[in-house]
Amino acid sequence: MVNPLSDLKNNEQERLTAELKKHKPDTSFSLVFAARLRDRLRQKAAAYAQSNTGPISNNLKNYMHMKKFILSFGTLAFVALAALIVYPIIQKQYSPGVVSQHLLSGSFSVTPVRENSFGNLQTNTMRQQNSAAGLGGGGNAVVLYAPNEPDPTMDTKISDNSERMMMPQQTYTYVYKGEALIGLADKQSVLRRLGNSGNQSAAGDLVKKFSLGLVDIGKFQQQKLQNFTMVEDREFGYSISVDLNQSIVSISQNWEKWPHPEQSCQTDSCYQQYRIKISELPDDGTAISIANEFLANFGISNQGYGSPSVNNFWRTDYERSTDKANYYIPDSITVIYPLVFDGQQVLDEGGNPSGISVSVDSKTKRVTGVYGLHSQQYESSEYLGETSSEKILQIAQAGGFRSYLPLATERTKGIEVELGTPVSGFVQIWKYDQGQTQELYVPALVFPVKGVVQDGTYLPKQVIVPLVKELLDDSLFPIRAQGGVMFK
Amino acid sequence: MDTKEQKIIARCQSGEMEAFTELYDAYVRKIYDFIFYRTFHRQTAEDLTSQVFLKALDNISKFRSERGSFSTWIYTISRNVIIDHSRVRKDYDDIAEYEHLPTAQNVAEEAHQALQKEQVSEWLKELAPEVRDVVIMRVWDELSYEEIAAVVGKSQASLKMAFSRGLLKLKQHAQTVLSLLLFIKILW
Repeated sequence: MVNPLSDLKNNEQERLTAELKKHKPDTSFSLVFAARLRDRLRQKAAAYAQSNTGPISNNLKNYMHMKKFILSFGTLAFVALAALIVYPIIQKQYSPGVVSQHLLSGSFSVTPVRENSFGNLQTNTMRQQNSAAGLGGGGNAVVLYAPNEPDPTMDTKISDNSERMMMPQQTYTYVYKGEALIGLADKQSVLRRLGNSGNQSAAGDLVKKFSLGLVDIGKFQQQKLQNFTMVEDREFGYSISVDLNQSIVSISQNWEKWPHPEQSCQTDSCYQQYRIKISELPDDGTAISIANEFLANFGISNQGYGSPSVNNFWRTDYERSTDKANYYIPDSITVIYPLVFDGQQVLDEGGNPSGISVSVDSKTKRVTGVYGLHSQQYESSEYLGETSSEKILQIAQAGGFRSYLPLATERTKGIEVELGTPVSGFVQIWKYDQGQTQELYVPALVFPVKGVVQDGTYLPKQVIVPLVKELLDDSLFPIRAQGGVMFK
Repeated sequence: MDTKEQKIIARCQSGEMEAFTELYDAYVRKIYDFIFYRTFHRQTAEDLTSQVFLKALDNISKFRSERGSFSTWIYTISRNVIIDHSRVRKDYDDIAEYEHLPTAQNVAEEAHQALQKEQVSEWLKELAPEVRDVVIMRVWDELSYEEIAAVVGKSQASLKMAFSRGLLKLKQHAQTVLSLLLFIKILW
């Protein structure tokens, strides 16, 4: 084999490397983008609520490998859960007057509390972003909502350069063509989901009764059990994570007990043989049946949730793909049981239905995970509602809540996207304040996005506008006095 | 693997998912840059970076340190995301097809920068995709051969060979460009 190095003179390699390095492109990295993505990840991590993880940590694995005379975590968790289930029964039988306690409630309830009980609904992130953007009437106020605003933390010169280096980008203009908005209420009931079940102390007391060998756990005071994970030690077993703080249960594969032959592949051809083919995918009806059966088998109630549907977003992309043979077909299909309040749909901040999601493995046709299963205990507090239909429509035409579609600016003409008459719904918001997470459900109008655009861009299915006045604050949605284009 | 990273991953895998943001903080710039060098498009780089970290968060429970470092894992995800993206949107992803349109007022400076950028992409499009990838990883991403080997699944020796071949190719095709750039620099 000819060594190409021999064709390079002394130091030429270094010189060429240095020259290339010198021309390393300015990547226009945006701190605002980074902050926004960080926030999104943090929200998603919180939504997982300490679930969807491996059954046990590596540290605990090492700990178990010591094979000392100690209780393993799995055993401890199992004993704790068994005790939590059995203990109330024993208590009930042998301690007259003591009522058995549920660790998590399966019932639905809404308790009214006084007005504005949940504090300012604007999240810290919204406020910080505004502050960082140097608000005061400037167009950069909408860093959270108008993704194509120039990065306010970058100096003008860099900003200009980055824009210059970008591909020309198509922009869009939302145009409302629905009916007039009527009946906007001046008070809106915001819901807050209650996490803490209140029985964590009792659960903590039970755990205290077991020796951990390495430490006398009984010496610790006022203990509460926050979360535990159990695994099924069998083929195709599951990992069940329970977060008592947030009252969330998540079920996922016990990874080590499911076959993953593709993991040992060293070559592409090996990997390719395990890739899912579109013909192997279960149809929607089959996937829903598999999910229904799983919920029924494991006593998971879908009361309070709407009819299940399959998340098929990827199929649009697949249909448009010109290279279908190489298209990545998802390993699992997600069946969503949408949360419904008073007959109205609940959407997450991204506009997707919020609720229980059940993953069905495309190959084995088995359920691989259940997420979003949480208690349904809520508090309800009234907040000032936005009654100006004009303002709501302006915000809707500016993309509403968390819009990703690049909007037209004063300098560009956007492709028209039609918004239809809205329906009432709720939008789920995560609020982080002083280390606490609040899961809020805010009444909103959901504007359907109609039709398709010819350039093939994936349009959002809907635009969401919350109906609580403080979430439509001018500092978050700076609206220009005239014109259909609100931002920039 | 870095002990601190191991501890963060252990925290994630034991249920403290919010610890993932610490990994994010350590890697977001590197991954964004990694993607930008291959797409030359800010919005695309941001979209794909988001995909990478969302996938990583979704799959952190499956990460096994005995199979490699977190760095290798996240770069591998990034590479796969870019490949998947290029299958659908080849017009954006292939650096060889990259074009940009100057629009700003400062025409002179813009022309200078645009030419530089265009020439860099001209250099790189002379290289075979796999060689280009190695050159970019080595020079702009500043990854070691060991790290690149783990990401692309090739031996360090073959990567060194590919890198040298890439430079040789650049030398053969870019001499004129280098001279031109030097000339422009003198002018400005």
